[in-house]
Amino acid sequence: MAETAAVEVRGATKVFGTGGDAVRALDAVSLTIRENEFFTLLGPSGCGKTTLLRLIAGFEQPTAGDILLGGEPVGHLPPFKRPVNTVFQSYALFPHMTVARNVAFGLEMRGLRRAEVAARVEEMLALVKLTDLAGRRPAQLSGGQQQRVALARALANRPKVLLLDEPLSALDLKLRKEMQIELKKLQLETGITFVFVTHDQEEALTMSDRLAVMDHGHVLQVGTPTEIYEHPTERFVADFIGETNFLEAEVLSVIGGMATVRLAAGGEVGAVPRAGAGAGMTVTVAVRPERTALTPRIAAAAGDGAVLRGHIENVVYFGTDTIYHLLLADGAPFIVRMQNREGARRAFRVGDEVGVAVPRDALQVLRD
Amino acid sequence: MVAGATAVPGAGEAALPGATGTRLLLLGPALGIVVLVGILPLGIILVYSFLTPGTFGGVVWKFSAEAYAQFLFDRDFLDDSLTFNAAYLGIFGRSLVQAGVATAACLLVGFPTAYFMATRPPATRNAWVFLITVPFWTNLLIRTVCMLLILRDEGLINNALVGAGLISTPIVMLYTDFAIGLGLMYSYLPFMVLPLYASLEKLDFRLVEAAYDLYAGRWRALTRIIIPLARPGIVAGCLLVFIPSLGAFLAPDLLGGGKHLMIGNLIQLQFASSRNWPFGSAAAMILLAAVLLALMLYVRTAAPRQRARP
Repeated sequence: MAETAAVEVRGATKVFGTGGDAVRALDAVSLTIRENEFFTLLGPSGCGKTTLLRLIAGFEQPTAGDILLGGEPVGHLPPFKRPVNTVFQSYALFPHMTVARNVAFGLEMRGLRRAEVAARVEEMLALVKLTDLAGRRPAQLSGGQQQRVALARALANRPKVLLLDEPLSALDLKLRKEMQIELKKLQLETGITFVFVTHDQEEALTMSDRLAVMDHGHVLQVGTPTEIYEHPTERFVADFIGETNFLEAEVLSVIGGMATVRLAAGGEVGAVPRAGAGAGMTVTVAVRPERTALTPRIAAAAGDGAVLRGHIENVVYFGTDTIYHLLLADGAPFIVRMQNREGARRAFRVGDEVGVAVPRDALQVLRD
Repeated sequence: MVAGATAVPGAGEAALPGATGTRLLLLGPALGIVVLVGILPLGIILVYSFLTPGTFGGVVWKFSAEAYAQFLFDRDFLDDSLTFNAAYLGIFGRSLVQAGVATAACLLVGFPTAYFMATRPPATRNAWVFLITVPFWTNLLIRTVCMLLILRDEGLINNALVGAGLISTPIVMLYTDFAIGLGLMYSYLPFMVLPLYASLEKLDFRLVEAAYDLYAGRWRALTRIIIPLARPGIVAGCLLVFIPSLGAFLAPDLLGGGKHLMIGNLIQLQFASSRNWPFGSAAAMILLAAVLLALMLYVRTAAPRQRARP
């Protein structure tokens, strides 16, 4: 790779406490975050994503491994000597300073000339549309405004990497949606690498260039939102992101990047294989509810897709689409999500015996 | 209680019929105590300071401003003329300096102590607070005498230093200003540590992390973030140490050997051997006025900054 990575994490391990109380928050995590990338660390609480962010910021020292920023090892440097800035979950605005003084703080600490500090503060406040509130104290601002001040304060330093620790979690839904779009815009305008921590999968999918899904101190999968959503390689990833149906299957063959599996629920179908999957193995395959469709039971399988058989247990109407909860013939639960097209009647009712059409390519073989 | 039980939350209590009477009734005991132990004694001191001293102590009920004049002037026995005498002012000034030094020393020692306590795990903090209050359990006189035993020429420190061969003759520490300062600091250090701890314990240490993140080193995180946010505790601690230090008479008497009078000793002497109650009362009123003036000056300078918030 010709360009240097913005952030490189090499086998980073972080253990809190000692002896029997020791908690392994991060276990030999390795990651490469590229320049100008909007990179997200996604996982449930306690998965180690915030610990990883704090290692990059310098608030914690790795127990083992190293962190590189722009190719330079920084594992031993205190936070105030690293070219990164953080937007804290709590915003951590200085309550005894005005908005302008908060934004100026980092610049003053780096010894910029007074005129330059003033110009940069003005520029940043304009960027986050807070010019009118420069003289206010943080306590006099709304949550959304405080969020913008925190952003301006961090971005004013023109860091190589901006670290964001669940910055939107305290905002209400509408404001959160607005800030998501604004953050993405800011990242494109400034060209700064963003490392964004969240437990919100939707946020991660809509904002990121790439994301890493974490659990129990491990990075399970790294990829673009499409890769992660369409082709999860781990059961946890498939389960954590979006709704998924899991089916037991046996691999019949793997030929040229395409596997054929026999589903326990009946039918043979093409599936995207994972590395190491071979004929004869029993595996779990995942299929997204919206990739499947209900058919009247009499309709036979078309093409090389499969038709599973089951009966409808529950129907949930969602406006844009309807979700059908089924029990398959072998007793496994299954969810089908279908769009409510114009004029379409809700032809399927609770108790109906139906077929579920699963097209080829919709199945992903998981690593168990 | 009656008004409180029937009051609608958020509604003005004064709007309830009979609320004013109930309120006075409830405030009565507290007001009575304030008058009895606060205002009344001060009133007596004020009145006595304008009376004539009795020969064997006490007062003669005859108005006189002599006590206040005596603070600044000498009255000539022969022609009754007044000449300026700065001796008592000097005592007053020395007391201010001594109390100021003790306060500064308490702050220097107390701040790191309080910071240490505030950064311990929450479960152990109470144990530290408990340890800080332990000296309060013993009489101040006894503790000051112990300081005397430590500081004197044949005391713990000098014996240890001589025994170790570091010095041949003892360092004279007792009966110096140093001994007085040390005694004051020792007596009032908890009054500094506790308010500082209360301030620092509430401090959001994520703000310190934010300062580190914004290129502030440890020193500047301290001076730009921690100290400004701990300001209420610093002010409270300084007042709580400075005011009793200014009027202290035990430490100057025992550790200073009475050689260096402080205002507290001066006042105490008037009620004991000198038997000049009006002069003692006048000196006490002057001390009170000085402290009040200092407080008002402080409020004047501090208030605009706090009011600048909106």
